[in-house]
Amino acid sequence: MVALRKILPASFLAVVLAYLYAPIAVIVIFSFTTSPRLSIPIEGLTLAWYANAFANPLITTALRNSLILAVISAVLSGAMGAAFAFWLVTLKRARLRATLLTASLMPAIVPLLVIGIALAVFFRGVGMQQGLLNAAIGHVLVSLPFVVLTMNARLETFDFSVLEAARDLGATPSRAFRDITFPLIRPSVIGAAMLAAALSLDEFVVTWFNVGNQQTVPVLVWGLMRRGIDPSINAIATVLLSVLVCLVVASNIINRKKVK
Amino acid sequence: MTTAVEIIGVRKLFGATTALERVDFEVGAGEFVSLLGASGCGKSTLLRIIAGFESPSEGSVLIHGEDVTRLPPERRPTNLVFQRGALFPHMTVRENVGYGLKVKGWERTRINSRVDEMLALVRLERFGDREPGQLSGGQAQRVALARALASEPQVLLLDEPLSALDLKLRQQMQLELRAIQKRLGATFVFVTHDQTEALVMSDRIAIMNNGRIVQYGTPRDIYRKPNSVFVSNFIGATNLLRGTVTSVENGQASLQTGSGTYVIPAIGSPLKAGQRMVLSVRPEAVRLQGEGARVSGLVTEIIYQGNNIRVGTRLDPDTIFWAEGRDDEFDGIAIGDTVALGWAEDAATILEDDGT
Repeated sequence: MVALRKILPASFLAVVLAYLYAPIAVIVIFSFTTSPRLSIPIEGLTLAWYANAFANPLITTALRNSLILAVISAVLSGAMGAAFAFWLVTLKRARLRATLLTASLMPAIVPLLVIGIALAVFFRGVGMQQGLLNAAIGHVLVSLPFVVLTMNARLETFDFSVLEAARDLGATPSRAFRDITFPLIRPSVIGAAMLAAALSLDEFVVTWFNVGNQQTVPVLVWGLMRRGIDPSINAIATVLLSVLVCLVVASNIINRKKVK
Repeated sequence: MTTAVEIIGVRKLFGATTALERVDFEVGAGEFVSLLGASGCGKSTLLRIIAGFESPSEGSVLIHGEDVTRLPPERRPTNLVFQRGALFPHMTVRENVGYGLKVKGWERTRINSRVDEMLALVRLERFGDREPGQLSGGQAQRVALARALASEPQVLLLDEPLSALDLKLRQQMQLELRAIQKRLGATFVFVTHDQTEALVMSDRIAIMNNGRIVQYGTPRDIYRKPNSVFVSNFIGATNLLRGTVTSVENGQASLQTGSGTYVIPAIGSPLKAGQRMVLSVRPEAVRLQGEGARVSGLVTEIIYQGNNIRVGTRLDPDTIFWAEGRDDEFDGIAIGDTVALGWAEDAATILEDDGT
């Protein structure tokens, strides 16, 4: 009985984890197998699908576009989100602060489909051709709430008396920002920017409605899937997955450095 | 003595609440002045108004005769030592101390020699390359002091800089701060809620209550001649005997209280019969007395404090009268004894009953 009581929770945990990770594991494993079909047992290992993927000009273009969007999201979302969060925590009225924070986080729970369509309609209304620029605007919009959220969490422990100390010692507000504020919040800003890049890299819905005939990695993969499963897709997915994991892990490590 | 800081009719409102009510206040050059009061009395607000972090709703601030009311903190000849140091965590001790000089555009060699001088002043010569995170609380506050003094402010402002330290260190730092102030001949305005700290360090103390300065004077004046019941209660311990003046004649008044009637000197004072007054007697002025005793009662408490002993005597059901003296002065007294107590006439202060 005692043994069972111990085993039950452990096996439940194992089942949940397997459920969470099995599909991902399958993709990663089959990106390395010789058989073009998902089949077991595995016949042999190969890197051919990776070579295939990178030989395809469509895929390299898509990869380039995805990287451009990721960088734009990181820079714009990171800067705007950090500035907004910084301004937010300096507000004295607690209720106003909470309201503004909630308001800035709302878009994160609006369905992406709604955001995608709304943006597409809006861009058409103002006469902007679908393309990478529209997609970039969409990506910044989608990642901004998450940047604000993480920056806000970090800044709540920020000791603002160091800024007063700098002013007191003769620094103008802009000098104090350059010498004190920015070096202190830089790790958090970079961490949040990496999160924005990660969100941008796998964004599909908003991109699909706004990118026009350009391709990003997720949009391209979706297109390829419609023509049947190509094992190259597994390879692309695995590459995308590794980049994302790296970004999220790096973002976490950087963010763990406390804002002193 | 020239005036270093002059506060003229300063009021401060935060929304509907009044933090300061028309404060007038001045600090002489080279003086060590403490702003003393309980939390929320307005002392920190007044300090921050002098530093330039708050602007007064009314009134003006002058530093060495120059009106600085509209100047931002970076353009005022004041520096502030913050409650928790507020050292820059990403800079070394040397960089912290030299920051103000760097901002002012000093040459590096000049900054270096000044930083050396400051670190020597606070006895942290070997700590220059440490990061603030590697300092103890007392060291961090000494660095904060060195940083604030480095650019030779005309007035140094200190916002409870010792309150986070433990008692021993605090007492040591009090003496150190005072010694540094005297050596430099600098003007210090020190905010504290700790009356002992204020008494030990200050040339003058301004006692604040509800956004007002209720008394401003030397520690001795304030201790010996409190001008209100609030001050006599706030500074040190005291016995308060509340009552009504029943008669005034021949330069003497009678104060009738729940525990008896006391004769008090009334020469040159506007005492009138029927007034509610309070007689304040410091415990250390109270002695065991045979003849000429003024009060008597049963001893209900004896508190041994090592160097001192405190004896509480019940005068009436509501009043315990405290006497404090050296241990041997109360030899042979035990709880339950009846004792007679007296005090020198000039040791008692007669105050208006302001209900506090």
